[in-house]
Amino acid sequence: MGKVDIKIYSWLSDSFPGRTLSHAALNESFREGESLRDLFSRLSSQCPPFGKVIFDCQTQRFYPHVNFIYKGKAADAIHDLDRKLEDGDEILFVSIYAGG
Amino acid sequence: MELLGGYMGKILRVDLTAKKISEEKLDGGTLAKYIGGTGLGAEILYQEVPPGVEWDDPRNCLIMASGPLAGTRFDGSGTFSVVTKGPMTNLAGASQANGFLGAYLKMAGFDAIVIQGRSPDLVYLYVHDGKAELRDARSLAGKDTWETEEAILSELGLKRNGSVYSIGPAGENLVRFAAIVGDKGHVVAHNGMGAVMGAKRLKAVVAKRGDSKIAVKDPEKLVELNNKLFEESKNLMGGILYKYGTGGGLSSGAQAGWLPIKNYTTNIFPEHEKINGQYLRTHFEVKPAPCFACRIHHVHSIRVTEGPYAGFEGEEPEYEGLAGMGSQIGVADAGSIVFLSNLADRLGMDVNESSWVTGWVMECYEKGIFTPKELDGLEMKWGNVEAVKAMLQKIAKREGFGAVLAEGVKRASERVGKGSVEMAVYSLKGASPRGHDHRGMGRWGEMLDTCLSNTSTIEATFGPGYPPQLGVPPVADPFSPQEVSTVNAKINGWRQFEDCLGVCRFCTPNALLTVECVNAVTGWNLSISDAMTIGRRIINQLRVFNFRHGLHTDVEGPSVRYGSTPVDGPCQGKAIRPNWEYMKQNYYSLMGWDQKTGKPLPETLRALGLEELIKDL
Repeated sequence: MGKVDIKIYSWLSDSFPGRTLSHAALNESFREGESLRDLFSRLSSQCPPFGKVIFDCQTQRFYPHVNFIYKGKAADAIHDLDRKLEDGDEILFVSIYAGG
Repeated sequence: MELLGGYMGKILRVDLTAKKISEEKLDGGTLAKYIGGTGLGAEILYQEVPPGVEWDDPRNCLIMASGPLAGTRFDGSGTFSVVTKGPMTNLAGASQANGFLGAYLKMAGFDAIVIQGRSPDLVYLYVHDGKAELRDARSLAGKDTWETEEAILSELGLKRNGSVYSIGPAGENLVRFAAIVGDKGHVVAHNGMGAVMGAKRLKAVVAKRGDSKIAVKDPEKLVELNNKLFEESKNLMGGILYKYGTGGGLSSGAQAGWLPIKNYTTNIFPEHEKINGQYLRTHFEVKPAPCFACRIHHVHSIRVTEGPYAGFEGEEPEYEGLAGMGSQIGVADAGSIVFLSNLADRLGMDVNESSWVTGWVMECYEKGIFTPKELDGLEMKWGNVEAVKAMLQKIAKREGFGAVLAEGVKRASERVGKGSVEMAVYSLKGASPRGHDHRGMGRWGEMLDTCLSNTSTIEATFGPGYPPQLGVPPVADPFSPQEVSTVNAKINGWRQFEDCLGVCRFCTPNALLTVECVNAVTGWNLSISDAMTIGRRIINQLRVFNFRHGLHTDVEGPSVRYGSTPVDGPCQGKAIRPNWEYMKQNYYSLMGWDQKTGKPLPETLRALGLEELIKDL
């Protein structure tokens, strides 16, 4: 067992409960050997905003407006999904932003 | 072709040397081919500014053009384009501003203004009631853009029925990155359009909202389609623009590595939530200041309520002002950023180039390249707001070291030397990018676009998003050289088409609905494919213009620092430089350009109806 911190920023967090002005935070448990894909698939079904805005369980892809940052680094939205989770991991989801 | 709606059918021609004003009928064939705005400007520039005419030559044209949707009930339809040969690149420039002028120009009876020559004395142009006049502006010399606007509106007895776009001291003093600023906060920013006005001794262009009716072929259809577009615009990117303005995306930039921080020396700025749109809208007093017919009203006026600039009133900075006068130069006090951003506007300077040149000086100062004495006594340390304030004023007046910086960061660094060129952020064509770190997540495409476009700023892109109706799948890997360069080429044309319409890009999130609105206004029957062809026609025509005016593909790339690899933050180690040549070649190929020379191939020009340009290459 371990825990990961997930932070969801900007408008991506609008539908998450308990969000602040800037973000929503989740602290999720995982089982030994679980991958990021396992975690995101589970969250997609358990937490409707996650499945609607962040990760599409059917296609196993992030929605096009999502930037995915894992352990403080820009992550590969396809290959990094199969990395095994580690206790204390930090995951950020940030919206892409056009214009400005 | 008969004009059924959307156009006044007339161009105003102004010869400042001879003080002669005339009007010319617009033909439907030209409009069908180039639509208006940037497209119409590009055609006039091509036909009337031959090779050998430099940006400050009286023979250079300054074209201000609205489009068929301007002045209608389409949201945000006060937009116009300015097209000219610009001083930053000495190549084509095209820049847009919103506000009211695009609508009022048509209500005064004209689709566009073409200005040539050079006035012996400072003048301004007043367009009203189907005619125009040149008026003495000598009493306005040295006034900033807001003072000029107020003085002219007062002189003419106008209030909200007048739109004034003027230059400040920067334009009068030919600062290369001088802008044209109007309607208290809207800016024609890129490639030194204000310097071209300054070279022509033209202080301002004013349009009075008149009684000229803008015909709309199917008004009910336009309202129906526009209401659908409004709902999409309102909810675009989760409604963040609607709620917090363009500054609402700033923290996303900090977290995804595309917020410019201290001149690209780092990608870590913990204070980002103290300077974003959310902070401004919840801590300061703001109120909507919408453009013509706009219900999105992302533009606001602002009163600072805390910190050293408490009580200051002005325009709420756009994202680029917040980033440029904030993280880029190490300022983390929101009120100070509001002040500096407004100062750049009032002096009449592009806030982007102002911030790149300032950040460069600060880095050079930190590294011992400059002493305070060399900088006229100013301690240009990161975040020193008072020193920045003084330096911006020196730039605008070309005083002391400000005269060096007034040339823009590329030329200033080349003059200073001492290794400082390696610290300067610019595209090799001569201008600097918008206020982002294009090495960050989702912004590689914008760096490619900035360096390969005709205008040395965004042309194909508008950040990483584009309307899904274009049928191009979203980028899955933002660091894939193949994917990024392919998408840039495939979507290229749409944004250029948008810039022909006389409306704000934030109000056109759906390509199909937008094209249908053009049809409802004009009575045409355009498809998205037609729109893309028109956009690509303009891009290729401007590219031929640039080649005729000295463009070489060696300058289609980023400076050393601009194309460097982030040293920390979320994109640490993500290197675009090793992929540059591949991305450029892939893009050339997909655009139908010669792989070696970068010139549009004859078959490309033929397919776009530009066969007459083949001989010019």
